[in-house]
Amino acid sequence: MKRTKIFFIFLIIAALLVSCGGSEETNTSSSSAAGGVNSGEKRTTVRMAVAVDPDGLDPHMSASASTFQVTSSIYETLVSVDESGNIIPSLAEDWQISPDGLTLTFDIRDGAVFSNGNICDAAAAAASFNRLISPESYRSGDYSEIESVRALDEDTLEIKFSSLNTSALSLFAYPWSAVVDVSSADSLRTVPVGSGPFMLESWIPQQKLTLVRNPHYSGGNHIERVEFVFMPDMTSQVTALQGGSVDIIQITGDLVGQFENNDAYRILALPVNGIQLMAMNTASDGLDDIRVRQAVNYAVDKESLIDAVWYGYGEEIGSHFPVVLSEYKDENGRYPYDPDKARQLLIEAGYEDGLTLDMYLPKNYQEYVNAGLVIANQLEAAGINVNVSIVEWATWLSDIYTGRNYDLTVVGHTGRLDAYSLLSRYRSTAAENYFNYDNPEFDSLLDEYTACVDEEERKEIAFRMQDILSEDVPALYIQDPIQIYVTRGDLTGFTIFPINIFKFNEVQFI
Amino acid sequence: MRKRFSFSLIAGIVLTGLIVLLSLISVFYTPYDGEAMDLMNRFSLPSAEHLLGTDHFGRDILSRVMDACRRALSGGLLSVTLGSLLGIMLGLAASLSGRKTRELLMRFTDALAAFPTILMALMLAAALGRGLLPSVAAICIYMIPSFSRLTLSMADEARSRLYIKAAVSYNVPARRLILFHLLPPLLSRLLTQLTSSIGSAVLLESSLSFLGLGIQPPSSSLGMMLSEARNYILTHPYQAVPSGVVLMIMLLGFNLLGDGINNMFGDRHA
Amino acid sequence: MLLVSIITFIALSVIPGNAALIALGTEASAASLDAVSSDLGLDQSFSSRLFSYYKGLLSLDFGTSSYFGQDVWTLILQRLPLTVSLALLSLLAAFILSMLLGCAAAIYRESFIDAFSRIIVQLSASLPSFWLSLLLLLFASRVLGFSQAGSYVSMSESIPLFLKSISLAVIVLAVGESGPLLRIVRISMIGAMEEDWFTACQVKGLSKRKAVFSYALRSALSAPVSLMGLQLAKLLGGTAIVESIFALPGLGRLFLTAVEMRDLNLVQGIVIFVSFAVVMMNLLTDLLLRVVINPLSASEDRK
Repeated sequence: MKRTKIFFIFLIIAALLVSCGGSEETNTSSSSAAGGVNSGEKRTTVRMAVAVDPDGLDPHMSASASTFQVTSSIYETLVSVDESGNIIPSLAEDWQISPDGLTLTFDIRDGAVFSNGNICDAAAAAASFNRLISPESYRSGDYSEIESVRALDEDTLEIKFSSLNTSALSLFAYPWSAVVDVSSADSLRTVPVGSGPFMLESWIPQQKLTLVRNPHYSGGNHIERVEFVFMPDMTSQVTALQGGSVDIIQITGDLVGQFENNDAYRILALPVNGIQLMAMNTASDGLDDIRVRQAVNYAVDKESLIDAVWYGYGEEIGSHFPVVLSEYKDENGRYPYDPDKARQLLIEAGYEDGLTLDMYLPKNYQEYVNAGLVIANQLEAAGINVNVSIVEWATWLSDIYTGRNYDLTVVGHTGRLDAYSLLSRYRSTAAENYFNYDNPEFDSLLDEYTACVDEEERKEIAFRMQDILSEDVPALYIQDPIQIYVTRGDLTGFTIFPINIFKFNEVQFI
Repeated sequence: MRKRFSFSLIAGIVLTGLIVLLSLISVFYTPYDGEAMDLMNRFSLPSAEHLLGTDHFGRDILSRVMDACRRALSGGLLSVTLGSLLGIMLGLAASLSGRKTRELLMRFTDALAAFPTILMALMLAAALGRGLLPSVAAICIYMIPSFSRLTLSMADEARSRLYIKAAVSYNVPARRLILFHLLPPLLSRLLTQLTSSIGSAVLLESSLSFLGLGIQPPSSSLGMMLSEARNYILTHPYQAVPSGVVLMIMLLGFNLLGDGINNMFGDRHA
Repeated sequence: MLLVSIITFIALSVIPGNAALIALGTEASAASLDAVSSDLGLDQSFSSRLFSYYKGLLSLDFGTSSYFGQDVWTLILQRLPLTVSLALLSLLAAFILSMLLGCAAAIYRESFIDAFSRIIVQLSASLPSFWLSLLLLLFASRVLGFSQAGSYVSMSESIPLFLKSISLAVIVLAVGESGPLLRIVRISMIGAMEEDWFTACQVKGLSKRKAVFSYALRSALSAPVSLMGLQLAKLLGGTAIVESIFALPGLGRLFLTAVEMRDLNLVQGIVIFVSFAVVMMNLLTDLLLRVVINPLSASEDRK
């Protein structure tokens, strides 16, 4: 029977290979071996499912929302925000603004320490800001008006601006302005060092990223560990929550029914600071005519669109402004759904034989693709032919966003805390102005806004800018999305903020 | 003992016939416009109005499946025809040429075979634009190595036979040699390979469109319909049924047909 | 292999979009774009990039992933335990199934078992893996109440849980691989049993069972083994769809992400690694056949 040994030889080889694989795994991630599922009385590990990996963990060298979801727990910003967007202390306990509005002085919290033990004083913060405003940093453009950053003494940081920006303080709340330990700058992408409540334990891309409590952090902390589990697929996230292998997931509206009326889960559905729109290239043939853009607006039934794509989870908008901000003005109803009016406007504009537009949709964002398809269907009903192309995100960025080679595209923008940062992309000269929008009145309003010190007056200017956009419609403004998170019923303290951060130190199990 | 018209052959003909019929009809008639949305009427189950129900945009699934069948079928046929022609030509060329050229050609095929199809599809999409064409081209390239290898090995085998050796010694011109002496005995093997390749081409096309690399919305394809259904598998599991079943019937049909043809020619070892 | 990697290099320069744009997203300004591009070495000419990459490769340096910021080799190694065990376990399952069924079908030809094995062969070739995955996913979560997808547990944490978390994917892959394997086992068993020496064995008084298991099986093994070599090579590189449906962090999903993010080094690393694995697999199968099977065919020749 010696030939039957062939089987066994093969079996043994197979077994060996498997076990080799096993030992390799142990080498690379032995540190995460401890993090199983604790079924103890008091749970101290919170596990959140997220779709994509962070793009490195260096907040100055990323533009990706998935990065800030993680780094906001590792690093601290000078100031932070509460749920309604008010500025609250964080790394800076207090701050002063000079009478001319050009100088901001921050009092850095005593005893702040980076997770590697280095002291996080005003000098360290100044070094971090100098890194942020240097050209290599991805966000240097947002901070180009900073003239100098200086540590006056151990606890005092002074930041001078070259021109007046009345909403400058909010610049220091965004997660990309986080204070990093500059002495470890070269390795921050994989070995982040910050002064926040948690520090990185391990990150196995596409599998799991684990944060543990930062022993040097003095603030309160209910939990010991945060695990981000990477799951690209919504279905797996839902089954994972139902099976108890994660505690927090984000879902789309159609899945709410799976968790409703069930005490084992808590549903959190709140409008976020962001907007979704269909941009129109105002420099392209046809769309350079405002009547055509208005026709597009009349031709789309936003309510059924939001129903079809987001299952009704979204707040209709009429201009480029999220409903959650205090300067929001309701512009809905300027161009109500009216296909006849749309057809008439097209005829007036000289397109009685129809008009053909190219629509590009970013493949990675299923909801934008769906929205684009629904809009295309509605536009065709009104006599506008639409050629739909689905492109990859990389292609979208190079050809559409940067190249501005398109007629229509559906995309979303994350919000900012003030009208200027939000709307400056409509400035005729702005690099981000992929609408090719050009309105001198709007440009001068933007300048007026930053120079205006009176809060009421500033609000008026913000309203005026929203009016102009909703009249000129360089885009079909669709909605302020409502994000839906589902957590285990015994988890509290998890909430959404107007900027892209999480505060896991406030989360706990009851 | 071997039946000339085996069960596989008959079942294969019936199933592929069904698919071909469905595809042909879709050229002239579908119950609805497969791209027209009816947002009031989403996720409906089969009914008299919509025989296979409607999808997440209220589009008629039967119409979409019929259109998708046509695209899959024509894509499969086109890519296999092109791929096999190129592959056969490559194989014959390698078989008839000198040692060095032969090595070069076969290394080239090896490289083609090892090249990731996903990347190929992406690259071709960049060069040829979106839609069915780039995936047909990618599948065609995927098909080339297997055909050229098969042709080469069979041609070599044939060449070692006496009558070919005789023909060569009588100085029969190369073209004549290929057309009248080398190719005919290979045809039955190639036909078998061809039929089953259509099945794998259809499968590959649907895998590519499942990954979003093939046919673009709003046009339908079986793989895309399945990847859309995947989003609703928990809430509306029925969505995954029609396109999956049709795809399976299609693959089953071509595989059975390939088997049947194979049996008919009495070559079990293919 | 070199050719493949050069084609990959060219392919990635042809497709639109680059890693710097991806990194900056909708925040791209001209200045920061230049900075990031030079950081990633994208501003250099094609040939100098190619040259420096291969120079690094000579010292086994696969470079750094532009998307994850981690070492490419580490990323690939992290994926290996999962991808290798997926491939081996599913192949093992397919092998056992096709050995049992294939032999039985060959011994009792035209019987119920034979018909059953043919059905399996056809089904295996006709069930698209992604559809089967969806059905299994649904079945598992609805009927078994067992949420498999998304609860990936790595091998180092717990081996039973690891096996549980990959079980559905293994089933799907095994179904796909068992068809061709079963077909070839059946054919070569039948072939072996039709040989003269097989009849001779029985004439000499060996029981049919003994003749089948100790002689026919041996000689029939070479074709399945070489097929399995090919299948293993294919599985190492080609489980992307199944991995992404079951949310398993394997090599295939890494590859999809790398292509999507235009992560040149990572795509290159994976392509080179997989084609290397394919070459090694082919060598290994050859070796296995030569060492284990060859003496047998030599003895066959003598008869």
